[in-house]
This record gives sequence, C-alpha cells and structure tokens, in this order.
Amino acid sequence: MDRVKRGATATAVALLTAAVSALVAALLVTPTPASAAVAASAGGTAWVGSATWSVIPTSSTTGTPSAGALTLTYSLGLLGPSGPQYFDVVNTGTHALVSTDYTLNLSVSGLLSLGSTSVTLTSCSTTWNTSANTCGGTTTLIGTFSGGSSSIDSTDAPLASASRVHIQATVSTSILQVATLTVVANTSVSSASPRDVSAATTTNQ
Amino acid sequence: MAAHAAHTSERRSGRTAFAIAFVAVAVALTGAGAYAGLNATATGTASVSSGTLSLTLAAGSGSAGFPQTITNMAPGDVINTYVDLSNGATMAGQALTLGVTGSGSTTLTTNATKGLEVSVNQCSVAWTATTGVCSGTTTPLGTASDPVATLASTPTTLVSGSVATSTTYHLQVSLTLPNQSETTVNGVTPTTTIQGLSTTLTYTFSENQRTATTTNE
Repeated sequence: MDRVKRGATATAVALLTAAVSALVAALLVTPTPASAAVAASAGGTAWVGSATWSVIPTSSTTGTPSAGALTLTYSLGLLGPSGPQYFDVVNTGTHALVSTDYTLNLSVSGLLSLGSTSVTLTSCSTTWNTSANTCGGTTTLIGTFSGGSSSIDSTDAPLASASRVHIQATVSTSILQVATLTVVANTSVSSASPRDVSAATTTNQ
Repeated sequence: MAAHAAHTSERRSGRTAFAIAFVAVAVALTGAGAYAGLNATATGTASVSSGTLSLTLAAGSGSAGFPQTITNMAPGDVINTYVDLSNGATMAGQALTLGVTGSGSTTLTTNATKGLEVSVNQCSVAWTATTGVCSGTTTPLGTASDPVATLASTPTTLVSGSVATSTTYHLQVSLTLPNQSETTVNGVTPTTTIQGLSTTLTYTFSENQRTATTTNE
C-alpha cells in the first residue's frame, strides 16, 4: 500500500514540474505585444567611395613617386650659386585640384653665409631642357621663397589627377657666400582654408 | 440436507442474476433518458480577413534610384537620389523611420563628425530628378542631417504619425560628406583620414502597423 502511495506522489511531482516548466517556457517564448505588431520595410543600397587628394614632389620625371619631401642641395661659391635644379610635382590623388601649397625650407651652412638667399620656382608647360636651362613651352612663375620657411599657394600645380608639373628651382643670393644651401621642398593640398581640392559638387541621380 | 443446500445455492444465484439485470436496465434507461433530452442551437457567421502592411521603394521619375555607385566623394559633395516610397497595402502604418548601415568600419560610417550624413526631403509632387527641383511643396523629414554613424543604431523618424494606405512619398535622399579640413603633405594623409575609404550603405525604411483598434458593432 505504501509503495502505491509513493508512486502516486512521485507522479504528481513529475506532472507539477512539467507544468511549471511548460509555463516558464511559454512566458519566455511568447513575444511582447510590441514585437507582435506587424511591421514593413523597404530599402536600397549604395556603394560609396571617398576621394584622395595628394601632390608629391619628386626628382623623377616618370612614374608614381613615393610619399615624402624632396631635398635639393646647392653650392654657394665665390662665383655665385650653383645652377638651377629641376623636379616635378605629381598629383597622386583621385580628385582634381585648383591649387597646391608649396613650402620651401631653406637652410644655409658654411664658412661665409651673410646676406639673404632665395629660391625661385618656375614651371614649364612642357619639359625643361636641363642642359640649356630652357623651356620648350610656356614658363610660369610660381613664386620666390626666402627666409627659413615660406609657403605659396599656387594654381600653377598638377590640377588633374595623375598629372605633373615640371619645375625649375633657381637660387639667388644678395652677396657672395661660401656655403651650402639645403632646400627641402614640400607640397600640401587641403580640403579647406584655403581649399586646394576642387569645389564641392551636388549631383542629382 | 444436501438437497436443501443445493436449493439455497440456486436461490442465491438467481438473486444475483436478477440484481445484475436490474442494474443494467436502470443504467440503460438512464442513458436513454439523457439522449432523449431537448437540444437547441443558434449559429452566426463572421467573415474575417486580416490586414496587410507593405512598403515598396522604387526609383523616382528620372532617377536611377537604388542601388547606386558613388565614387570619389570629396568634402562638401552631395549626392541626391530620388525614390518613391509607397504604403500600398490594406492597412495604414505609423512611425515611418529610416535607418542606414554601412559595411566595414571606417571613418565614413563610424565618425559622427567627419563621416557621411543623410537627410531626407519630401516633395508633394514628383521631383524633377535631373535638376533636383520640387515644383510643389518641399518638406524636410526627420532631422536636418543625420550621421550614418548615428543612423546605424538609431533610425531617424521621418513620419511620426499615421501613414495612410495608398500613400506615396516622393523623397529626395541626400548623402553628404561634410566639409572638413584635411591636409595631405607630400602624399601623407593624417592619421584619421576620410580619404580613400569605401562602404556599402544599406538604407532601410520601416513602418509599424497602425494602432490596434477595438470596435463594438
């Protein structure tokens, strides 16, 4: 008789446990009224890529230059400074430009370094004849740089992507010097103040 | 003596048989009585159909709509896309929102200041997609401009109230790379740059069903 009672009790406990488990499961699975509401959606996609803007000075006349400044060295002797040097500036970005900022850092070291020294940048619409120091096309003055560091924002620049401008860098001194002039040429392009990147556009498509 | 015992046993068996028969008849009669009771029913019918909720997105007249490819975006650039968003099912909606997510994790989609921004304007008639002109009434929907970095997790509400059935919204969806100052020196970009990045944006317009109603009829 006791065995029968114990069996009945065990069955009842099992049934109660199952019922409670089922209730808990139902509460967990049943969505809240908010999520049960009907919703609809529609959409689309767009692939978006941003531009790059970059100008790099290089002594090479071909190819894509590596990032970095360009250093030019001149001798300032009793007979005057050494002759012009030539370099290119290349638009390595994907975006067109309206100008480029040229910054030259001039430093003179030597026995006699009195007076002032300046560097003049002139572009040629074609290529420079570096032996004769002549331009087969049209020359344009970018500007004259003096002092330790100075900058000029010029429209005479590689405006189109992958284009390049050929530049002649000529040194002038106010008095004879016996020294070495080191010129570090930097180019920078900004998206604002002043904006070197071509004007923003609105496209309807 | 033996004969008397046999007679007594026969009498008991007979009583038992009689008792069983009596109970069987009683049960039968009781059951028969139940089935024989009166029954009445009344019925009615109700035709019930559930509503449907549907949003569809189509290119606006003269526009390529989505999907689209946008290349070479520079600071300040704006790309306007024209779409028609329709609530064309049987049930009104409410709380129309726009969420935008971007693939990958770049400044374009994670930076709320320098990254892409989205704004939406509605025209009461179809937009002239080629010029971006609304010949009717233009209504800004949602906030003026939302960064994708925000829209990815918090969709903007375009219409907070009801969205009637058979309604078509003529929308101008504007994607902007905000103006910002970023200078590249000798080909070297700043550490946090906006340049040369890409992402695939997914625009999702959503609405909920209208508020549930209780009707007494």
